[in-house]
Amino acid sequence: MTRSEPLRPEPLTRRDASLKARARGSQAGLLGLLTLGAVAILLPFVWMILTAFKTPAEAYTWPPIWLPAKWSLANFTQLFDTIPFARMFFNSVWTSVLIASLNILSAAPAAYAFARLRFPGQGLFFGSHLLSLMIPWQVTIIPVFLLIRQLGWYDSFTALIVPSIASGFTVFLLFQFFRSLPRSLEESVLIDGGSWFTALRHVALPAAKGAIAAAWLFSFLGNWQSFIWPLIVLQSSEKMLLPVGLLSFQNQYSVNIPVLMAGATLSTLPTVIAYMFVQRYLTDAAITSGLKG
Amino acid sequence: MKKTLLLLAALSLSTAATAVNIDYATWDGTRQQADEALIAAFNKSHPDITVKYNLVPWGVYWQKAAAMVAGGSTFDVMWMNLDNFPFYQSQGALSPIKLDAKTAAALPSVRTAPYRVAGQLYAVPLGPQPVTVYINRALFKERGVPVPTSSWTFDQMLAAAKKLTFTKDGKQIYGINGADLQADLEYGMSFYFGAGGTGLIKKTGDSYTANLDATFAKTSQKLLDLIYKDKVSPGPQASTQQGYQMFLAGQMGILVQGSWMVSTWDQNKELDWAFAPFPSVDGKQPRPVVSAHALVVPSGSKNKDAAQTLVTWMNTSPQAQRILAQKGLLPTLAENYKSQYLQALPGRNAQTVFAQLPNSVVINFSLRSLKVLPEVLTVLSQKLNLAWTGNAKLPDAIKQASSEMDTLLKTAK
Repeated sequence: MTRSEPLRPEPLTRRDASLKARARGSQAGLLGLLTLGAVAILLPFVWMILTAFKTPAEAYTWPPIWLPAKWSLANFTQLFDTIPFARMFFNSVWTSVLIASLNILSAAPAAYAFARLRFPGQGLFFGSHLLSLMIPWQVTIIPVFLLIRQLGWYDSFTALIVPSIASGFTVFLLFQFFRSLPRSLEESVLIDGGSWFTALRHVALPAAKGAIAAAWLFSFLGNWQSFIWPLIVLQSSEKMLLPVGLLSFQNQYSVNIPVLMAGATLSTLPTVIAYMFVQRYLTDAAITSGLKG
Repeated sequence: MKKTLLLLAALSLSTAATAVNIDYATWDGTRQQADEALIAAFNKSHPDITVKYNLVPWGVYWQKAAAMVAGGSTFDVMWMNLDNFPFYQSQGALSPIKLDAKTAAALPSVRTAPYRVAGQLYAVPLGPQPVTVYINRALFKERGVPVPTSSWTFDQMLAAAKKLTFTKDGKQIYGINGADLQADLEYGMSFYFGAGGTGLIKKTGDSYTANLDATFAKTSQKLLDLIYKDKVSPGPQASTQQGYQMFLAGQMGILVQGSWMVSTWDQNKELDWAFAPFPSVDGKQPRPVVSAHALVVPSGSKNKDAAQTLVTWMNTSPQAQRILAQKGLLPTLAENYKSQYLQALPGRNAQTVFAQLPNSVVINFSLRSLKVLPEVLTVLSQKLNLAWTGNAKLPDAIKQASSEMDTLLKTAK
């Protein structure tokens, strides 16, 4: 083993130094811009959390004050005393998790079939999925409500869950991903005598973990924030979901902002946890996206 | 003994089995405790009916109501207001309410009349909710301003507001909530009626015209001057906080708001608030506006009889009236429960609320059948808002509003 001479860096020319300085400058500028963006996004959250611990007098003071003089849990106590917060929270969590999971269960086979199989009426069926994305939900809300009522599902979780199981958006999202998977992976399964279902289960789905995680997260967030549909199909307070329940603090002439912020602070927790839970898969998806092509 | 117990158990089971369940819906979360107390008392005194409380927030109340009416599924008893009543009644969505002659006679006619169509009553009014004046007594004391008496005038109110506008510990304290006193809205209109105003729309024969006369213009100018000339009130440029929020934070001396805000002030236990008499304008008797909300039974209710029993009990029974008054809320037959109301709000000068009730006005009560009323009022509000936000001169805003209102009213019957 010969010992080689250590490489000596070439002396920087004036042009190189200038280029390096410019790159550093633009990087600093970009960093500054991103920091500003991050601060703009974070500030309302910080304000929300801090306001949850303020007295009403502090919350409404003008000009606003950031930190409460004395940290108080009174708003949280009032939150739980005024509305069945724990019940609403639980309802929102389990329905959102269930709907998001059922979304994936129904959308994944459909998306895979559209991406890989050829069957009569395929274009029509796929088009109808896309069409469902283009029709505003406000148009369909009354007909669906009438249907729900005729089925006797009014004021039941079934009314909340069943219409949300099929999602054109999730099908489209997963379709795009399955289409980008190299066919060779599945062809080896088919050559070995496996079925399309085996290929889906053992090749496509594991490869699509990231896309599924993203689709699940989108669906979860959509249902977690869902407001008008639960408001219309649910009536009993023991079945009510969090977004509708929190609006109880907004009256015709006044809003109880500190208590509302206490509720909003608690209601962000599941979304943060959900994101942390699927974040690994999202990162994996970014890494494995090199498979494309 | 065993047989008796079994019989009792069977009886209670049969009662439970035949009990009718009805849903009561309100948008007013500020009186949730009172409503729940009422329902508990009703359920106890009416074992054959079980009422369930439903709070549907104001922001979505009418969306939900419209969807339910369209879908034929509904609550059994609902809160209604005068702005929305004509639509629901004209759509056949409300069931007529039958009251015995004695109960009907006891109801205040000024608040039942707007809910009567072709001689038929479609709603039973809740307690009066008048526009009132609140003061921060601690600020009055600190600035040496005398507490208002029954002879309080607009000029005295302005003088007080000037003294109450100051800076304290780096915070701006304001005299009054002028931004809320747009003259076409209920708080500002209370001054307009007090100045001798007769209504924003005039009916002559079969036709309607805008009535933004000299009284309206003069009162509007006085109220607008609170922000831009007298500078005793924050305008939209000075603060993003609403008047009641600044009052709650102890940064406003005088607040013109509704009697329903009482439970809101409880949020700040340190706030030393009290009612004050409504000030007179130009030496005339004050005539504050009163909201006339009511309870209705939707046509879609499957338990109309039970629903009507609840409506009648809530708004006329001595037990319900007493419960409301004891919670600091004005019941339908307010005058009969004055002592309970005053006891519920000790030291808050609550008798002034009663003093102003006989002269209070229900806005546009004679115009509720006018189909274009919501559009006409929206045009007026939009134009005046331009002046209130400093984006137009008041005379121009009134002129434009008057012209556009007349255009809309030409088509009205």
